[in-house]
Amino acid sequence: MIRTQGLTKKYARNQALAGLTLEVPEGSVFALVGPNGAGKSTAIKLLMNILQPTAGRAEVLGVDSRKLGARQLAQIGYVSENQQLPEWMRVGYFLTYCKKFYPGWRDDDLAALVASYQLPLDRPLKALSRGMKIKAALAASLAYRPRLIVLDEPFGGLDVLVREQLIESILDRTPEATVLLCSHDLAELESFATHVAYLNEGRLDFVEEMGALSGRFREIEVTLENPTALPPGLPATWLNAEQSGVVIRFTDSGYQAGPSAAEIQRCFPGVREIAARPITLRAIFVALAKRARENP
Amino acid sequence: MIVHVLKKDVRRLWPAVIVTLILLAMLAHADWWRADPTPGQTEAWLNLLLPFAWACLIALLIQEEPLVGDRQFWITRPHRWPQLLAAKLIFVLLFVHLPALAADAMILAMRGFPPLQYLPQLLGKQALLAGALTLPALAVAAVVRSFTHFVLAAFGVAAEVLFLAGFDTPFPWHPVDDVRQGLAVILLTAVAVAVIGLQYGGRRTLVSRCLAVAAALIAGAVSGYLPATSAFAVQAEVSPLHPQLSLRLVPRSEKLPPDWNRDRVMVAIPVDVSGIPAPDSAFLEQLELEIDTPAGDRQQSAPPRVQSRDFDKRLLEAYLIPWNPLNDSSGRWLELRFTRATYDRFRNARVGITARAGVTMYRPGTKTWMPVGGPVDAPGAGHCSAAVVEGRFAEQMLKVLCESPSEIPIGTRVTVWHPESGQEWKQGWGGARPYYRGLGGTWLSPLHRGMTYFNLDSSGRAEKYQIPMGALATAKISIAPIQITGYAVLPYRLDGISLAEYVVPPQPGR
Repeated sequence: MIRTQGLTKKYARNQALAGLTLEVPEGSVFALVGPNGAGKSTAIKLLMNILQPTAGRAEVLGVDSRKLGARQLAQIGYVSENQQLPEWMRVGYFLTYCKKFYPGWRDDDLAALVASYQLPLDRPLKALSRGMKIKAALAASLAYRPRLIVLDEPFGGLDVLVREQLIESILDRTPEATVLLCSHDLAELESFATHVAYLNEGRLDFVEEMGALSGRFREIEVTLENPTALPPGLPATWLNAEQSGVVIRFTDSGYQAGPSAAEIQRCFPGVREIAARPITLRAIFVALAKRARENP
Repeated sequence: MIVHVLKKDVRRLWPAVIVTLILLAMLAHADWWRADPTPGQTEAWLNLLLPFAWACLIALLIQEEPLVGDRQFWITRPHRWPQLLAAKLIFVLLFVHLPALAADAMILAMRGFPPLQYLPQLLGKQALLAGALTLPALAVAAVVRSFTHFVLAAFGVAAEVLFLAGFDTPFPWHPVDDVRQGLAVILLTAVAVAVIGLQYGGRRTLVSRCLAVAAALIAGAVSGYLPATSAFAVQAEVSPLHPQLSLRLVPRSEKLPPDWNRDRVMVAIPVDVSGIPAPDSAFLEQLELEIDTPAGDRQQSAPPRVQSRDFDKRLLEAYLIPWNPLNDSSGRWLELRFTRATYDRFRNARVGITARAGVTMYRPGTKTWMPVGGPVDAPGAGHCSAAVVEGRFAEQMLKVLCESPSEIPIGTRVTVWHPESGQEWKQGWGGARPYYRGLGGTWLSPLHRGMTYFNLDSSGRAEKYQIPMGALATAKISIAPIQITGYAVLPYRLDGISLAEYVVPPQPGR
């Protein structure tokens, strides 16, 4: 569905994206995550042919992203938090105006979306709240059942209920679609992303299936018999190790039940107890970000 | 798709369209009631305001789907750029060019010119409007981020135009002005088309901006500073006539041109120009000239028709007189005006003169007669009339004016003839003009209007430059337009000239 190879974007001396290589499988819900300024939005704009890459290439729906034209855009639903909508239009006219551009537009889908989102058709877009504007943009992007949905930080600042409603509607209305979602709000991704790519300072740290990612990250708490200083040379997969009295905590980014326990026993003599807890996506990225800060 | 976008733009911009239509209606109303070449202040301001309003309308239109930036809603929607651009161009045609064309046709009809007969002129004016205003406005709107930025850019362009206007000559200089302005408009049009294509085809904003800025600067430089010789060379190149002209020294006649300036040393060298194809005549203008001596001393003449506050720095001025041979049949002169110190450098040497002259060839047209009052249809000059008016100091003047959808040639002659006395008073077209303060541009008018004045004398004396009031009752006025047949640059060289032989003595009493 989407494939990039060494995709790079430079602004003067500033490298926004450095050699991004990844593949978004068809039917996946692919989350592009990372801290602010990591290059997520730049990557999406390159894919959507809004920006031109400095180097590398990308393919979207089988077409070079630089040649993405009306035919491909008719199959893509794009919503961004920063999108400048034609604010003078009333919601009803906005949706009618968009309809003419899409051969696959379905009035019944639109009616359902309008009802579900409770969109006020007679109000101008400029009079709507941010949440309602996103809903209007989303309605205009889902009514033609796009093959690819691209969402650039769409839910930032929305309350949890609205966010859940929008995510649900995306999954319900377009179950076949591939979704590429970029966000730094990890809570909104956890429930429905199938793949995660982590970008940091323009570089791809990793890309992984959600299940595999959740499976290999554990928060480890080791209780010792006696207080012992943290030994040097801990495994690189143990992130942000801290000691407090007889308790040592760290995030294991390569957890495997048996081998991990054995490694802990080897590193810390006198282990009284080992607790390995699954952690949230948010906690995973906090750990990664903290490690990146401490070991730049 | 085209109609869909067009309907959306009309729905959005109809209030702005109404504003431009009101301004256009006001301008057209003022224009069709005006007989005088000088517009009223309202009309003069409308000639500035309406183009600005049109430019703003175009900017608003383009900014409906802005091309600069990465947050616009429309760029991720399946627009086909040729269709989007077509929708924008159709809007401009429908709401700028079509109303302007209709207004022009109405003005012509109201002033007694059948519009269909002058369709080429009307369409030509729309082409000029497109090249000078709508296409550049489209291009600028396509490279700016917002409407506010467009207005700032428009003020920048206005500042450039005002700056260049400071170098403008007080009288039109058609052979040169036409080339300067024509080249500037052609350049602006070509670059505007390129920028519009680049922006709509691929949103290449940086390249487009560089092109637009470069074009604005080059067009400004061309329209303000293109050397007169180059302008004449362009005119000569596109001219249908390419005669072999030559200028040579002829024996000195008894009659000398008058010396007008005793602060300068005036040298008048009698010359003759041959090669002008019969039955044409020619206006001659000295464009560039250099005097050299065998010892290597050189002096170039000051550029012609340049307004200079520092008159003393114009060490040498060169003219070919008379400009119009119809004014004076006593022969042509190369007139050199030196500062005293400059003349002293060359007075004792035999000098060489290397020069280039601009030649405008023309054929006198048919003379049309009318009584004082008129009106008359003068072929080549349009509708003409004459009336006695009051000048700035309450003096009486005879004003002759003509209006035509075609340009009235600058060399057109107006003659007042008094049959009883046989006396004639001659005036060149636009050779006399009233004092006027304020804006005077009427570039949006479909009519070319021009006038000339004759001074009147109520004391009954008949003078060379004043017509006795009593003569007007039976006087007849002739309008003799000319037809420009071609242009040429005439390079020439005169050797072994002793300037002292040709010095014109100062007029007695000066």
